[in-house]
Formats: sequence, C-alpha cells, structure tokens
Amino acid sequence: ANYIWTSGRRHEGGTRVVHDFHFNRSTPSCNLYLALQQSKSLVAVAGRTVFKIFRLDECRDEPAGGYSLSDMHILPNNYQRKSKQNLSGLDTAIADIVWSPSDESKLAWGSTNNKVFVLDINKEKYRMFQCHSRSVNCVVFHPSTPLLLSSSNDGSVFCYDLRSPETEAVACANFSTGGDNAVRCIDFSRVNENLFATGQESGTIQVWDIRNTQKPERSFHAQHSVITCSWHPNSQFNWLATGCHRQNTIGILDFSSTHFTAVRHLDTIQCISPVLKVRWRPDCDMHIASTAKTCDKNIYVWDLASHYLPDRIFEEHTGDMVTGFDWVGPDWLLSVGKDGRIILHHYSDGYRPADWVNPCSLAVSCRGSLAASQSTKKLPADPNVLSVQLMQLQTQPPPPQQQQPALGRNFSLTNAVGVSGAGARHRGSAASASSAVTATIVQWNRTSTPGEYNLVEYRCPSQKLPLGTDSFVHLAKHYRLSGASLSEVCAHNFQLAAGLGLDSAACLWQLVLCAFGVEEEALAAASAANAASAAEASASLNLPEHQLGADELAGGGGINSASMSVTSASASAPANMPNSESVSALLSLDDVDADRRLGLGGSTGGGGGSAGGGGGGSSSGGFAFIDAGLQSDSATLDDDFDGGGAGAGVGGDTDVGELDAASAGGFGDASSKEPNDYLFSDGEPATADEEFFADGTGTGAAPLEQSQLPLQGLWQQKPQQAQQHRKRRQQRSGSWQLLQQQQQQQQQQPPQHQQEFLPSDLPPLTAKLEADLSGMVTDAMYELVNCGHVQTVATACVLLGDRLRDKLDESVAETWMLSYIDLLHSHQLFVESAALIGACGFLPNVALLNQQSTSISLICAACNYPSKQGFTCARSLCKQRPLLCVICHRTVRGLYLWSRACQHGGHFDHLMDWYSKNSVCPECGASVDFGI
Amino acid sequence: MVSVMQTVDTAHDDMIHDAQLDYYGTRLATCSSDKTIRVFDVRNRGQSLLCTLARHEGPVWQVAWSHPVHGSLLASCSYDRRVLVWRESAAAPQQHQQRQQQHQQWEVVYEHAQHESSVNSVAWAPHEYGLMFACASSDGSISVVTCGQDGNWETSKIPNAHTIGVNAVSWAPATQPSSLLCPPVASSAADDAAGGRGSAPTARRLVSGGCDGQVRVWRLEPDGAQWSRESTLEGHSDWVRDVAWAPNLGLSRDMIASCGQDCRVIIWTRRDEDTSWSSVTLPPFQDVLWHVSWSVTGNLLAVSSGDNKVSLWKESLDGQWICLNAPANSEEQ
Repeated sequence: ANYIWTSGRRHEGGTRVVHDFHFNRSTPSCNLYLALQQSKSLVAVAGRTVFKIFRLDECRDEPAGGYSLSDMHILPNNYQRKSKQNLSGLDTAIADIVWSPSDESKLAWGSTNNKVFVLDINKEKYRMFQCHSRSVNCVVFHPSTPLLLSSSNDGSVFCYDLRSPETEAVACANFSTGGDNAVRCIDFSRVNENLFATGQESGTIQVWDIRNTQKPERSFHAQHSVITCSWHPNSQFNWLATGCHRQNTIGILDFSSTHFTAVRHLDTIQCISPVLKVRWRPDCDMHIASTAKTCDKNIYVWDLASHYLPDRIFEEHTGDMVTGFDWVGPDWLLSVGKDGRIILHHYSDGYRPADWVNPCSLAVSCRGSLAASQSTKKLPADPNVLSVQLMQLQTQPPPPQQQQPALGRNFSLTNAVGVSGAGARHRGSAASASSAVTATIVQWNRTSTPGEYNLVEYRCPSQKLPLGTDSFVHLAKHYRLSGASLSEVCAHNFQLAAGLGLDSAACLWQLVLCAFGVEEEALAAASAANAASAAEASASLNLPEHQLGADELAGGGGINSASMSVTSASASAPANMPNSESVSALLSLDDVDADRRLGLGGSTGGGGGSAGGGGGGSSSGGFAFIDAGLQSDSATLDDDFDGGGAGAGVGGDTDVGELDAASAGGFGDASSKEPNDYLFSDGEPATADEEFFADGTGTGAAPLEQSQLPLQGLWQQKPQQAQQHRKRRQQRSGSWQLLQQQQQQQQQQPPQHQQEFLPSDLPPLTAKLEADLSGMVTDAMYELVNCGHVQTVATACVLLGDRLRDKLDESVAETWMLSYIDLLHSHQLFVESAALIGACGFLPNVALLNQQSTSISLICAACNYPSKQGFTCARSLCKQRPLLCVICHRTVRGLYLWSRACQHGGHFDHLMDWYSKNSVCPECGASVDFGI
Repeated sequence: MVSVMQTVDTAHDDMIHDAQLDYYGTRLATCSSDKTIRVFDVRNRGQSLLCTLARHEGPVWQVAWSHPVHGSLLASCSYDRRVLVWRESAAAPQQHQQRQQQHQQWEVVYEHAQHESSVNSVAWAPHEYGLMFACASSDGSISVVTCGQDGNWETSKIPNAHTIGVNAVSWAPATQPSSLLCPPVASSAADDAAGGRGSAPTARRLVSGGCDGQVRVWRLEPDGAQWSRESTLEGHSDWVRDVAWAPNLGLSRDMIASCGQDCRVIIWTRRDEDTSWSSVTLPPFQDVLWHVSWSVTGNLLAVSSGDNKVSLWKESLDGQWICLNAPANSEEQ
C-alpha cells in the first residue's frame, strides 16, 4: 500500500499514516507529544485532548515491512474519568512525555500546570508531583534506576525517587541551576549514566552529576538559547547536540576531551527554522533529525559530513508543525504532528534535496563566452567541481551530412525568392547567415549530369563567428554611419563585413546598395552617360544607358540590362577606349553597375554562395544574370558566352558555370513563371544578346578574369572608383542643369538599339522595382536579425533612415536600434553608441536617448553660487577662474573630471590618478561616492 | 564549437549552483552550497577574487546581475528562504588603498524574506521596467519585487503559481521599449505620427517553470496591480528545471525554452499575442537538463545537462534545431 502523497512523489519505502486522530470540533487540534519505549513495543501519544497508548507491531505480511499501531485502550476512559474527578488539572496541556527505560511499564509526563505525573500502566495508577512553580518543560528517567528528573520554566530541576512511598509527592533533590532561567531540556549521558545535561533558555548548558545537586560538573554558555539537547546514542561519541530556536541552529559539542572544562564546539548546523527537537538517528552516527518549532511541518535529517543541505526531508505532515517524533529504528521514523496524524516514515522515502539541486551552471555573456560549472560527483565536494569554466564559442564546421540537405533546400529557395523579389520572408538570407555561423560557404557545383547537384563546402580562413566579440567590436568601430554617398558607405561597410567573412552582413550591404544606392547614382549615371555619349567609341554600349536616363529608369531593370553591357565594356575601357571622357564615364557606370550587380548578385544569388568570396562570388553572380537571361532563350548564347569566357582564358570557368547553372535554374523557373518579369522576359530577342555579346566577348577577357579575382583584387579598384565618384559628383553638380536638356535630347534621339534590346512591353518599372527591392531589404534585415546579426541591420537602418519608413515598422526599427545600442554598451563602446544615437534622427525615440539626463546644474567651486554658463560663475564678484585643476592649479583643457558633490575637479588624468588611491576630494576632503 | 577559454578556480567548499557573468562580461559571480557567493574579475582572461559574500544561511541557488542602468546590483536567492540584493558600496579610503588586494565592500541593500520555503530562482526584469526582480520559491509562489523611486521595495505575489514549487522564472523582453522609454505624451504623439501603428505598451510578462511539469506565462494586468496567468504550456513529464525567454530583437515572435528532469528541451514559440503557443522538442538528451540559456541575440541556445555537457543549438530554416557542437567535442570540456 504505497501512499501517493500530495507532493506527488510515490513512496516506495512504505511511509504511511498509521493513525489519524481526526481532529474536529469535539477533539480540537493540539500539540501532541510522542514517547516510544526503548523496546519499541509501546507508543504513548498525548496532548491536551488526546491520550493514547498504542502497541507497535511489526508488519510481517506487508512487503514494505514497517509497523502498525493498535490501540491498547488502556487509558482513554480511565484517563478521561480520572482527569475529571481526581486529577484536577490533568486536562491541561501535556508538555513532555517519556517512558522509563528501566521499568517499561512506567510512563511520565509533565504538564503546563506545573505538575509531573507518573503512570504505571499495569496498575493504572497515577502519581503526581507538584514541585515546580511554572510549566514543566521536560521529564526524563534515569537510564537504570527509577529516578525521574523534571525541569521547568521556573529554572528548577527536580529529581523524584519513584521507590519512595506512593503517597509522597515531593522531590528528593533539587538541582540549583542558579537563577530562574527556564530549563528547557534534560538528557542523560550515554557514556556515564550518572551525568546529565541541562539546557537553559539563556543559553547555558550545564552538565550535572546526579549525585551532586549543588554544583554542575560543567557549565558553559554555548548558544543564545538552548531548547533541546540530545546526547549521541553511540557511547563512542561523547557528543551533545543542542538545538537553538532563536538562531535556527543545531550545535554539536564534543565532551570527549579529558580536560575537565574543555568542550569543543564541533559543528553548527544551520537549519531553516527554529529548532524544536533533535534526535540522533540510531546506527547512523553522523545523522541527526530535527523538527521545527514554528512555520515548518517538515522533519529534517542532517548529515554532519555535509550539512549545508538536509540529507532528507520528511514532509508528509500537513498543517502546522511536527510536535513529536522518534526513531523506531535506523530506517523508521514515527512522528506526530498538529494535524493529528501519526505517520511512520521510511528513511528512503524522505525527500533528498541534494538530488534536486543544480549541479551545474551556465551563463552566456554578451561577448559570446559561456560560463559553465559542472560537478562530476554530486556530493561530497570534489575539488574539480568547484571551478567555473569560461568557454569561447569558436568556429567549427558542422558535420556535413547534417548541413547538406538543409542548406541545399534553402539554397534553391533563395533563388526563387530572390528572383521573384516578392517573398514574404527572405529565407535565403537565413541560409547565408547560418552558413556564416558555421563558417562555411556553400556553392552549387554542377556535375556532368544536369539536374544533379553536389554541395561543396569550403571554408574562408578569415571567418569569424558573429557571436565573437572581435568582429563585433571591429565592425562597431569601423562601420560608417554617414559618408559622401550611400553607395560609398555601403561599399565601405560591405568591404568591412566581407573582410571579416560575415557573408550575410556583406550580403545585406550589397542589397542595400542595390536597392537604394541606385536612387542617387542613377542621376549621376545618366549625366555621366550623357557626357560619355559624346564619345563615339562606345555608342552601342552607351545606348542602353541613354535609354535608362531617358526613361528615368532609376531602378534596377534598366540597370541590369545596362550592367550586362557595362560589365564587359568597363573593363575593356581602359584598354580600348581612346577617349578619356568616355573612359571616365564608363568607369563610373561600371562603378554604379558593378555595385548593383554585386548587390543583385548577392540578393538573388542569396545564400552564402553569392556573398561567398565577396567579389569573386558575386561578380560571377553578375555573369550568372547574363547567362540566365541567355539560357532562357537559347543554348547557343550560352555557348557564346562560354566561348567568350574561354577565350578570355578563364581558368575558373567552372565557377562561373556553376553559378550559371544555379541561377539559371532559378531564373529560368522564375522567368517562365513570371513572363512579365522585367529581367528575363521571353521577349528578349536573341539577336540583341548576341550583339551584346559580340561587344562583350570582344573585350571580355578582363571582366571574366576579374570575376575570378579574390576579394581584395576586386576592391583594389576602389580608390580608382572613389576618384570616379568624386569626378562624378563634380560632373553632377556641373551638369545638373544640363540633365534635363540631355534627357530631351535623348528623347529626340532615335534609339535604334532600344527596340531590339529591350522588350517592347517593358512596364514602367521605377516604382515597382523600388518597392520590391526595399521589401527584399527589409526581409533580409529580418532574417539577419533572426540570425543574431542585429549590428549590421541597425547600422543599415541608420544609413537608410527614412527610406525604409514604408516597409519597416518604426517600433521594429527602434527595437533593433536599442538592441544594438545595448550591445554596444555591454561592450563598453560608448562613443560608438553615442554616434549611433546621434545618427538616429529618423527615430525620435532613439534620438532622444542622448538627451536624457543631460542637464546638469553646476555651482561655482569657489563660492557655491549657481553657475550660469558652463563652469563660469555667474557672480561678478567671484574671481575664480573656471575649470581649475585642483591638482596642478592650471586651467583644464580637454577632459575635465569633477565631483558633483563639491564641484572640485581637474584634469582627467590627474584625478583618475588621485582617485585610484583616495576616495576624497583633494581640495576639500569631501568623500566621493562611487556607488550608484 | 566550444573550447575552454579559462577555468576559474572558485575555492568554494561545495557544489557550485550558479555562475553568472555581468552585463559587461567582466565579472563572474558564483554561488554555492557553502552558503557563499564569490565575485571574480575575469577581464582579460584573468581571474581574481573580488569578494566573498557570506550572508546567506543556506545554500545559494542562483545569482543575477542587474542592468548597469541600476548600478550593478547582485541578487541572490537561497535555501534560507531569502533573496538578498547586494550593492558594491563606496569603499572607505583605507579600503581603497587595499584595492590591490581586491577587498571590496558589498552591502545588502534589500532582504526579501516573504517566502515560506527555499527560493529557487531570481531574475531581474528588463531594465526598462525599472529596478524590479522576480523570484520563485518552493512554496509555489512567485514574488515580483519592485524598488520605487523612494527606495522602498514593494512586493506583489503570485500565490500558488505551481502547486509543488516553482523552479525557474524568466522575464519576457521589453519588446516595445519605445513606449516605455518615452513619457506617455511623447509616445502618443509618435503614435499619431506613425498613424497609430500599434505601439501600445506591451504587457509585462514572465514565464515560470515548476514541479508540476508545467511552464506558465504570466502577464501583468493593465491596471498594473495583479499578475494573471496567460497560458499554461504542458509538455514536460517531470519537473521543469529552467525556463528562458529568448531576447527579442524586433521580431514578432515570442520564444521560450524550457528544460527539465525529463531530459527534454522544449522550445515554445508563438507568432503574436493572439496565436497559441506551439512547441518543438529537441532531440532527447541523455541526462537531466539543468539550464537553458539564450545568447544575447537570441539565436543560439545553450543547454547544460547533468552529464557535464554543454550543447549549443540553432534553429535551421525548416524549424528544426541543429546541434552545433558534436557530442564528441563537448566531452572534452
């Protein structure tokens, strides 16, 4: 019969309720005390309303064993009757009850009305002693002789000789405890049966020889207050356990020293609640059980070897508290509580807190380090467990077999979304980010059989985990929040991110560049193109750009078509173009378009692959566009293209080819699904492409080689491009007015190629394209944040400012900004965070952060008059020079550090030096509080 | 994936139950069964003991650092039914000169003793809410303690949060800080400007895990007086040991990780407040799980189990969770 207790734990050991008094109105609840015979055969339970003697029988038929109680019916009637008739006052509360160890028929108890009773259960006769003047606290029999001791709140300890005539009701001895401090407990020593210890509420512990009533053998002050004491049952240990109810402690005192007065304080067990009673566990020398005086219904068993936690907790009692308990054996514990239940506990059913405590800890810091401590053994303390390890998350590739399927699917997803440009969630970025986390770049590799793909991984040596603090700090310090132009800043940031191997971040910069860099560049591009158009040399190449300008196609559609041409043309320009003007124009176009191309390559190629290898991957991504477009029309063009590539001596043709394949797959699908798609419309005449490629491949060597260049190679062109930027700006400012004229001119120009090159049903793309791209940008941002890279996203938000207003919820942007600011703070990059907040003008709530708590009222250090302007005293009488350093008495220039308490301050360095050794102001001695 | 950067010898006398790095990652607080808390300086891979705090009378289960906005307060909860809030006090001059010996003074600024049983978990609220912490106790209740402007600490209790006891508590991030940072007038103006795009203050929430195997989400009622149970997440078959609400970086997704005695980690997500929670269970572990912890950006989940393993998990695109460190590596820790 296993009980399932309210705690939900199943008790296999056989813990059970052996009796329930069912307290109710007629028998109200009371403090119940329990006494167990030394032979464990009879149990007496007594309280104000209850007096019962049970026989304790071992349960032999129960599998769990244990004991059962059967009512002896010895007393109830007698007790009730006699208590009413003869023994006046017996119905008051019983304070303690005990069986005689020498004569097991004798039961003694003390009551709160100062009386001590002794009952012989065979004769059913009472003896009453009334010696105390206040409530009796404790009664105890001598281990061998029929002597009874009782202690009381009046501070007296009386000894009664039970061999005396029964009519005698006086004590045979009175131990002079010296004072009127309540004596709470008595216990006979197991080592010398003539010795007993008394504990007083004042904290005095006295050890008496029963033959000497005048003077205790030892007397010392142990604790604040001793409420219970118990000698160790094993005579090897001359230990006394004392319970203290004010400090919630159990003290263990060692009396084994032969020195007369020396008592060694062995140990102190810190309990959770005031201790009421302690009992050593038989046969387990290190275990002691305790109950609580108030507010605690549990029985605790403490192990002296490791007593920070109780070894066991028996929490089966409900209600208020456990008032009496004793060990039936080492494994069985009988207890009675105010809930009226007598419960037999098996030791193994006790709740073992040590099994339920945290053996390990874990913390993730802002810097990507983990703190973890773990124990190998639960208890006792193992030196190895007491350390905390700080771990750094490091880059390591995941097992490829795990990653392959997941990434493979994602990658194709990327293509689809990238091309349609309308995916609600740009899952592709997540793919790239996950590859960044695991520091792998994934590329598609086309095998000989079309349609079959292998996943190839390679690792970029410079890659770092986004969690890593190095790259975070580096980016925080070097990301630019403003610059001459958006595209320039984007390019800078892209380079930064790509340089750290943060492909996903780099990808976002490309995307931003593609989506928004276009706006401002388009005008410049148009003007530059017009300037270049004066040159005859590149007429055919430039015509699309004219078209672009004329149609005011700021968007990427035209750009893409243009980029195809320019990709090839630009690189060829330095070599082939004699006209310097056209060179510059073309280069500038290249700049624009290359960026766009990179961006689009990044966005549509998606994934780690596109951004992977930055320049290399993405510029080949640009070619992928071309090829995709071509492939959707005819295979021959592909051949042409390959031919061009091969002619250019492209060693890494496979790379291009791979990407071709990937993107061609994606794009082919996309274009077939969306015939109206501006990029790869079916209406594209093949001839135009061929023509274009005739142009392109003629000079195509350079760009194709370029596509194979590593990242640095590509960006080496940057200084040059920066020059072009500058030039273009000049041109722009100069040619702004010309622009409209030029556009008019362009409209007048009969663009012969236009009809061939561009689909006739090309929709007005500007608005739609912008929307699509900004949507993609925000999608990418979401995914990047999802992958934990809020830094780049927040920076991009600042850079784009209002441009994302329609797409991005302001509160979301705010959350990003605040998260990033919080991260910056946690890395103690306060300067960077202030700069970021300052640049957040488009988010008023964020921008206000810098203005919170920034007004400081100052008073003059010399005359305590409020300062009006800065540190200058407003009083004309005060001649104090402002900003004097209290250390060197010179006026401070630069950082000024001052105490707001006394307004004294000075050079930052001086004061830091001073305050590292002192905490008072050097001028006036006022203490400086470094706390909050 | 994980390599040991440094090992801090804590010199605790007994088992360490919790170790927490502060906001800047420069200080490490450990707490142990030996009733003490130790604070270490772990900057630059060094380790020096800053102080030993010994005011608890029982094993200390958890420590928590507050956000530096409130000064770096340290809260600790213990078996002695108390939560102590510690503050590094202004050191007297002579102590300053001993700074080389790293003697620092910490004082208890608040003692929370309103639980009837061991306090198992303590967590500071997002700093936007002010100085506020929640603590969970074996008596089944959760206390939310707030420090007002006047320095008085006020307690509101969730009685009987979990029937047998609460093991862990974690705060939801302040998802829309803007509404909290600004005075109401300014934010309503911002609302108008934004076309009333729902930037109403998000309800304060916390999540708790208890001995009844349940994870419960609590929400502060709009009147700010009472916490009410918003949802109960059932999935664990045994005690829930730890819960952790993922940091939210502006994504409209709530994510909670919970782990427990049943050797499972369950990740609960919901898209927004109107939808119900859905759960993903990580592949089974070999041992009892004690801690789950999110990285600051909320995309990595660290799980520590009783068999001395720390594993890192990341969600792949299809919603599967992938272990980033192979078990073979974590053995080496």
